[in-house]
Amino acid sequence: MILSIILLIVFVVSIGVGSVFIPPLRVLKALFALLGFKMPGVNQMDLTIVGQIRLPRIIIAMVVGMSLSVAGALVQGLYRNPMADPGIIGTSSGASLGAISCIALSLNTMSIFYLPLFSFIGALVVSFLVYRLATKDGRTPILNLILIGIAVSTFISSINSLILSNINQYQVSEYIFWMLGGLDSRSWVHVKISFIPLISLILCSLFFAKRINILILGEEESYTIGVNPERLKKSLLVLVSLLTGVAVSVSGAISFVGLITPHILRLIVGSDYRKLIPASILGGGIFLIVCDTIARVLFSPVEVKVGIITSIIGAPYFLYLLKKRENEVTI
Amino acid sequence: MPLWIENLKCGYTRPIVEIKNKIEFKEGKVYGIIGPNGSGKSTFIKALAGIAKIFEGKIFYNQTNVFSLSDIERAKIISYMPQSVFSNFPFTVFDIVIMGRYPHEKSRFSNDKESKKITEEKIDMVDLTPKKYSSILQISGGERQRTSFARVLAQESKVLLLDEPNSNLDITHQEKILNIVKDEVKLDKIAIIALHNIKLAAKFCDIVFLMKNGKIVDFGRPQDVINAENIKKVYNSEAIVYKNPFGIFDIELIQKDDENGIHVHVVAGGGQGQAVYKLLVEMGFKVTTGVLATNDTDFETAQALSIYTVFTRPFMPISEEEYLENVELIKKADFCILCDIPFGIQNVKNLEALKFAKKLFIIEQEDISNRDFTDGIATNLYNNLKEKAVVLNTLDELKYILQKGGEK
Repeated sequence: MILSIILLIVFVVSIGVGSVFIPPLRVLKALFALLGFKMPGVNQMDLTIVGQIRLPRIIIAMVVGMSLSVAGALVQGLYRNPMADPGIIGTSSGASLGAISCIALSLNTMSIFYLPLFSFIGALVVSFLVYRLATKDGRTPILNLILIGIAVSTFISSINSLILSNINQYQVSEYIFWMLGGLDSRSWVHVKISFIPLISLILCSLFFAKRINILILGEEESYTIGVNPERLKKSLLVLVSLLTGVAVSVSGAISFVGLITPHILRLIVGSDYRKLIPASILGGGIFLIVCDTIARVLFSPVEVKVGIITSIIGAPYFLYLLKKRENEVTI
Repeated sequence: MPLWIENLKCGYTRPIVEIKNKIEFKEGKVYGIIGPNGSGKSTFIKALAGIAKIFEGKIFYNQTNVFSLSDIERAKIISYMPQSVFSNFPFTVFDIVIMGRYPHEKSRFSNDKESKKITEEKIDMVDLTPKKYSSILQISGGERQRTSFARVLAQESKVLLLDEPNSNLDITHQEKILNIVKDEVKLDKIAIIALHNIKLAAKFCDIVFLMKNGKIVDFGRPQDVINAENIKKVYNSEAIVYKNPFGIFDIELIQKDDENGIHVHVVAGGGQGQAVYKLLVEMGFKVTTGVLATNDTDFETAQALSIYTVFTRPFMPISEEEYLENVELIKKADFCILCDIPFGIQNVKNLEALKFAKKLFIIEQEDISNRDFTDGIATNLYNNLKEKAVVLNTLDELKYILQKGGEK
């Protein structure tokens, strides 16, 4: 598919772009050399820049983009609403609660693993809480899920503000940095903790594609076609909170990727989740790598947080889509 | 393998539908559920589909409790078409219909060849082939309903539960869908349909259940269940149930005025009397009619409306006795109405009798010469009657005059 070719090109080019520009051919050479192939005439500097600095960061950008975008697609199917965002089930606010607790307890200074771990746990706990509160008699009506999601998120945000107003200046800026969502100084350590779980979760989501299509038809139809909506909703919620939880833990809160990417791709490939999920995987990867590259070079040598770039591109585009929606029936 | 239920109590937060009887749904039959709005038709259907909550009782198919089966096994037995179809997502008609194949497919991701073939077939059956790849957001409500129906067909289950499958459809497709259902049950399937259109229920169902306030009031063959008495009981309105000129069961609701004690005698035949009878009965007149042959559709209408009728055997001329009885009624009647009917040897005596009418209205749409099959005898009598009668062209004129008469 065209998208996978674009992803490859974007991947290679973005590695080359930065304070030191490396042409794509040299990037490829360096990449192959890193993979163990014998490449004559490889620049040793290229190897360091590509291998140690840019490659891990771009891999993180790619898998995080993929995960958020797939999570968005799943949530939109789950809520039967093409305007839903993964944050709606409480993962975002949960992750920030985890992050801020970690910062407030100064645990983040002890090991770089603590911040991701705390935000991951926060995301899971809060989304589980939302799910439990919204479930009654074994059924989880979508409306309950939305309302309780909003209520819980608001509650958590106020707790966050409470903590925020009681910690020192340094910690506040630490938290704000986390919240803006950045991929700066991400190293192989981050790749190690996130790559395999995220890729397996992403592949796992493909397994649900056909059933999500049926769920979108309506819960009654879905039940009588043989797809138990309650069971499917549960699995999807677990999947989405794991995906966003892990992604957010390594990247901070990056907004709009999960909302925008599946939405745009739906316009191109249609609503069939068997096409939409693969497209969202690739599209999310492309989107975040591009945004991250812009973030790196826009005000170089100063870096902008990637979360800011995604919002700056995403929000106006989203408004444009909403405007356009008024004029036509499709989406 | 029949489907049966016993002592069922179902609803949502509390039981709405309560069925005391043991009901067995047999293969090869179409079952209709009729009743006014809010009578529990949909809830009953949803309970059978496993969507509404079952508080008491069980649903068995072939001796197994349907809801103890796995989701996929159950879907192979029972399919369900909801009343309204709603989605925000631009799936195509094909996408939707092929979803019905889910319980039959092994793959969790792709669709197999057989499914695609069956999907094409079902889309063709509901006349949507030209719109196969259209988004369901861009087709009409009726087309969406047909898409949903095709999806249920593609599921190829043993029991089809349809909740008002034709509420949004044009008349041809209303009947077409029910015809497809009739063909489906020939493959040893069971169809259970909630319908608000009693006429369609009478025409297509083998057995109907009449519901009111969550209870089954009566059930059986449509001709036994759908009668004036039951309709009065359930819908709280007067109705006539009769066979229309095509020999098909028909039903007409009437809003009866208070009886005004005025006696009207009608000479009709060949279906010309139906509208007149209904009008007169609704306006509260005491109506008699005659002489009619027992195979005349007007005879059946008159019976359905409980109009006193002088009748004769089919294909026989009116006997002296019947003639005299008719004359008696004509003499007693405050006025008489002669409908636009053809005359032959059998009924020409009705014309003779009308000369005793105190007052006569003639409804004439076609010239008498065109409907005289007695070599001029009828024309002669008719023209004599016409001299002292009021001649009208339409039923509306009659209604107008009668209303004015009522005021005096």
